[in-house]
Amino acid sequence: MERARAIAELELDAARAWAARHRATLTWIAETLELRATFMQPIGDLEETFFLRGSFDGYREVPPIWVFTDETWGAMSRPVDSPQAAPPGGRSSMFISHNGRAVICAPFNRLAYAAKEGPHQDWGGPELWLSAGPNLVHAATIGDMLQAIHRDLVFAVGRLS
Amino acid sequence: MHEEKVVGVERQEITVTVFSPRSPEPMTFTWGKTIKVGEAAREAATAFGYQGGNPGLQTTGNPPRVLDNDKPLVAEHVRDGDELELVDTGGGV
Repeated sequence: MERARAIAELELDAARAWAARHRATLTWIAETLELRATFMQPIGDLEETFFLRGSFDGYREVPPIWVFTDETWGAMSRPVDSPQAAPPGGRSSMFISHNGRAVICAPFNRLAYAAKEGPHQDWGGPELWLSAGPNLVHAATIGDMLQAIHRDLVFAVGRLS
Repeated sequence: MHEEKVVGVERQEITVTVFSPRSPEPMTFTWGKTIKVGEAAREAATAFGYQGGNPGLQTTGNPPRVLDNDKPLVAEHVRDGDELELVDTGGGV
C-alpha cells in the first residue's frame, strides 16, 4: 500500500496541472488510495457534470479501478452515471455497457479485464496492462488516464442510459 | 552598405508550446509548417518520455479539438505561438 501511495502521489503533480488546464477538480484521499475527479461536459451553452473515481491499491503492478459514480461518490458503474459513447475521429469508444454495468473499456482500467468481470480475456490479465491492446488507447500515468477519459467524455453528449 | 529588404518571405517554421498530461511543465518545439501532426506528436511524446502508444495533439480550447495525425500542422491551422497538448489517439474496446 505504501508503494502504491508513493507512486500515485509522484504522478499527481502532473495530474493536478492537467486538471487545472481542463477545468476538472481532483481530490486525493491518501488513506484509501482514492482519486475523485469531477469533469464538465459541454453541451451547447450548458454543462453536464460527471464524477470519476479511481482506486489505486496495487498500482502499478495492476492498473487502477476507474468507475463513474453518482455525485455522492457511492453508486458505481451505473450506465446513467457514465458518458455516452462518442469518441473523436470515429474510433471505438471506451465507454461501454457490459452485463448491465458501465465499463471504461481500456487497458488502463482493471475493470475491463475478465478477471474483474470485465469483457477482456484477450489482454492476458491486469498485470500486463502496460502492453495490453497495443493498438488501443495507451495511458501509463494518472495524468494520461485522465486525459484519455476526458478526451472521449467531452465529445460525448449525454449518458449511456 | 546597402540595406536588404525582406519582403513577402513567410517563415516556414512555427514554434509551439506543448503540454503533456504526465508533466507539470510544458516544452517548446519548433517544427516546419508542413510536418505532419503525427510526426510532431511522436517527437513531442518522445521528449516527454512516452514509449509506444498512439500520440497525437489537441488544441487547448474548451472543448479541445484532436488534430488529424495525417495532416500537416498548417492544414490543421496550427500557428506560431499556439499551445497544444499531447493526447493518445487510440480507441477503446
